[in-house]
Amino acid sequence: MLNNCIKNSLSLLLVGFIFWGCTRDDTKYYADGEDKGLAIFSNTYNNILSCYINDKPWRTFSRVLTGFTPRMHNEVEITRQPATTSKDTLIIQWHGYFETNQRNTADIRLHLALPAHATINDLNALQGKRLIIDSTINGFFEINDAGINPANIKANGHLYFNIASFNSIAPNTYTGDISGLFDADFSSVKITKGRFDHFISPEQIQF
Amino acid sequence: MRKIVALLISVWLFAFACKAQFYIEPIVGYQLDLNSNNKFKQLNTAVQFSFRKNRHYELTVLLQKTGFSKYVSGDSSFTLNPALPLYANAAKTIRPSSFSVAVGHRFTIVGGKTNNIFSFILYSGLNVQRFAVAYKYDKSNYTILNPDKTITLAGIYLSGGFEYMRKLKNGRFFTQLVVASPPARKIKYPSSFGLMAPLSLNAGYSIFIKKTKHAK
Repeated sequence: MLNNCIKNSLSLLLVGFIFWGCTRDDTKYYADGEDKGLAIFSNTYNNILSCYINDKPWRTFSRVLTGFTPRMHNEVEITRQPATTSKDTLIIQWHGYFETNQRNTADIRLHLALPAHATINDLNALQGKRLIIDSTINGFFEINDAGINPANIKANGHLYFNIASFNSIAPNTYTGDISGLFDADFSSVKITKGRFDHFISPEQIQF
Repeated sequence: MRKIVALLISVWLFAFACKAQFYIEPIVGYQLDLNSNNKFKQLNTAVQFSFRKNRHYELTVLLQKTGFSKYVSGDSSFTLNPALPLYANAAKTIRPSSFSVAVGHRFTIVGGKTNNIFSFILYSGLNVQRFAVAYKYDKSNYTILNPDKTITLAGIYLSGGFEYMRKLKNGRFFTQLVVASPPARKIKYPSSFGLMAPLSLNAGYSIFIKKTKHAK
């Protein structure tokens, strides 16, 4: 009787460990043949951003679902900051690391001005647009790592949205996808050849 | 190259050891691709070694090379440089080619005793497909969206079809219609094309080499 109990417990424990170790990786990395160390520029939900920061390849974490109680680790988050002056702010935050040193993690953030009380249609209107990001006019890029950007400079740059498409699936709940190109100039630090491609799940957007 | 020489020597030894009529058959043809919206039209050349056991059956060994064509199209490329147009076409050239080594079977359907023979043919073997991709665009300013890349894949494949053969005074002339499967592999890249599944129309000539004392 005791033996059976031990056997059953061990079996349950084993099954638990198997589930605990399960992961699902929703990021697809396809190496760019031209720009070494970067992923290709795509619009097929590869869930990755990659760029050079001072010519070193930098990329976002993989979007991984892990654990016994599934938890998604997202590489990008989108939020809308309501207007404090005359405009709302769209904040896109990417979490990533240098390819050469995976412990050297950082976030790249884009702050972009949207009309006050912006709706999802204002987000969709970005599709196909190429923008000059100017901190005196419409927004800025920032890197939240003291090692990379010690003076916490807000950078100007360029941004192109190949895709910016969002749908409301319930009240205040949205999904969509974004892809595009960007670069940023922090004076001593330069982001070049940036490209991103993400499916945005409801957990990743607060709008 | 050494492997091909070894294979040729093996075929030669086999030909002279076996109790069969032996033919060498140069083949040329034209093929369409049933995958990828028929993007890739190619010429194919082959040499086949045929061992005629009897009037109902022949065993064949096929070495086939296809290619000699290109597919020209374009992909979208974009730039962040405000001084340049946002979009530009990136000219893309894909040169598909393949190489196959297969063992085949030629089963006579009708006409085994006549000069006009209809046969069913079946091949199985190894197929290597290569898609060489090259782009022409302003690389310093533009980035291609969803680019293709050069891919080479090898896998086993099957093919089959029908053949009409006409016996001539010094040999045999034949035409074939053959459809082949793609190699049993998957492209692990978001390519704009798939592996080729060719439908080919071929013509060939059987050059009689040797008749053993047991062959009919």
